[in-house]
Amino acid sequence: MHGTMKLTDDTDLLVGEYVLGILEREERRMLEEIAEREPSVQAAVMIWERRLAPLHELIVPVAPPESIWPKIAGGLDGVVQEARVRGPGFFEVVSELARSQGAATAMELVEKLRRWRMLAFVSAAVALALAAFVVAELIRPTPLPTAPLIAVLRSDTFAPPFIVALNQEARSLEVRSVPSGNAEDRSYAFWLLRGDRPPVPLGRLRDKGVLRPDALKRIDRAALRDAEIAVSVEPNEATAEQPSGPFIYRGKFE
Amino acid sequence: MTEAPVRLRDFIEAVAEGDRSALEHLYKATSDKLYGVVLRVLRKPELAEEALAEAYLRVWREAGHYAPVLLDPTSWLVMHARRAALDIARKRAELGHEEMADVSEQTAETEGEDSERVVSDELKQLLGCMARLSADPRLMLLLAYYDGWSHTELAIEFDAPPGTIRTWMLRGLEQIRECTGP
Repeated sequence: MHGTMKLTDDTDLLVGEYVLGILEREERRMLEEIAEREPSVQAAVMIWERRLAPLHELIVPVAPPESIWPKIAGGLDGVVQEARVRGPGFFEVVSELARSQGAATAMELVEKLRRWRMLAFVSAAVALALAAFVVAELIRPTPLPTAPLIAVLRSDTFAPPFIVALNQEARSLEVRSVPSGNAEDRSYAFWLLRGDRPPVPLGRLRDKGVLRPDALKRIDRAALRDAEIAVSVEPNEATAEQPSGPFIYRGKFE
Repeated sequence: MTEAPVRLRDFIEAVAEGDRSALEHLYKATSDKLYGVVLRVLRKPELAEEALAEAYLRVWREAGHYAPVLLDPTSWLVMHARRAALDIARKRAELGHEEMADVSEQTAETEGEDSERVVSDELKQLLGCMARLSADPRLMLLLAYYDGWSHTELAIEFDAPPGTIRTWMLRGLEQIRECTGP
């Protein structure tokens, strides 16, 4: 696994953004989809919830109108209660965190987690252990053949990632999140990388948007899942079929 | 209104078993808090009422997932309330209905409300960690948490590119993670 720690650190911070509440609607939906099927991301969500939870103490309670409870009670029949068990793997992740911290049991770890000040000295190690699991889970091919493939493109420096989604039906690449703007005469060029083959140009954008290059239609799905997406910065007027400089971001589909 | 965490846990446990009266008890014990949460984000009572109802329906649906070893009951309920409120806020923003409140007014409101409040050691520690951030990123984090502001809304208010806002937020979160631990 190349570049695992950087990628996982980005993912953990993306979870932090989700819990903080700062993500846009589509990003929230995407993160929730991933958390739904990835126990390690669920665990990261809960850890960030725990971390930021004390802030709610400052919210002033306000009595709601009395008309709300009857509406809730009336709506219960239409809501199916979910099974009591959490998805498989969740507590295994917590157990793995416990193991990495030398705790005899997951419960012992949780007791440790309760006491923040005692835990400050192991925080980095816990984050790393979690990050390793996030990567292990995220890089698995998705079991849903028609679901969009998501890739987080990271840089070698501390910078927010690109998030791109490949629509396997339409063969389009949606750039959902862009770290920052370019100079007016520059744009982001997106490339498909497959092993030692030359980079395949996918198109250019200055901000979020959708690319529909013919190249994506010529490559079968299995190859796309194994491919890597890279980004270079190019002059607007350049038409080269090769990147003029290094790739500044790159990443594989989950 | 305050309620012993153990009692709230019992209510949630009973809700997971399909006990409707337990949900009503839970609502009576916590709806003031949760309404405060969603009203803060959505500002408009009609939207806050919709979010509050949605929050308790989520609690009803997902009570079986509650793991008290990971999150105390109030924090778990607040989590659902914030998610319900944020879903509504983002949907409205996408439809172009969102109206941004005055940031200076909101900040003043928060400080006024909190000045004489007794806070937990955990909150003191978290605020201590946030105090290490520079002023603008700290304010942005608070606006995001309490008022549900997105990258785009912060970018407009602080007159900075969304990418720059995101960079500040990620750095802020990273510092908080390092400072607080898991």
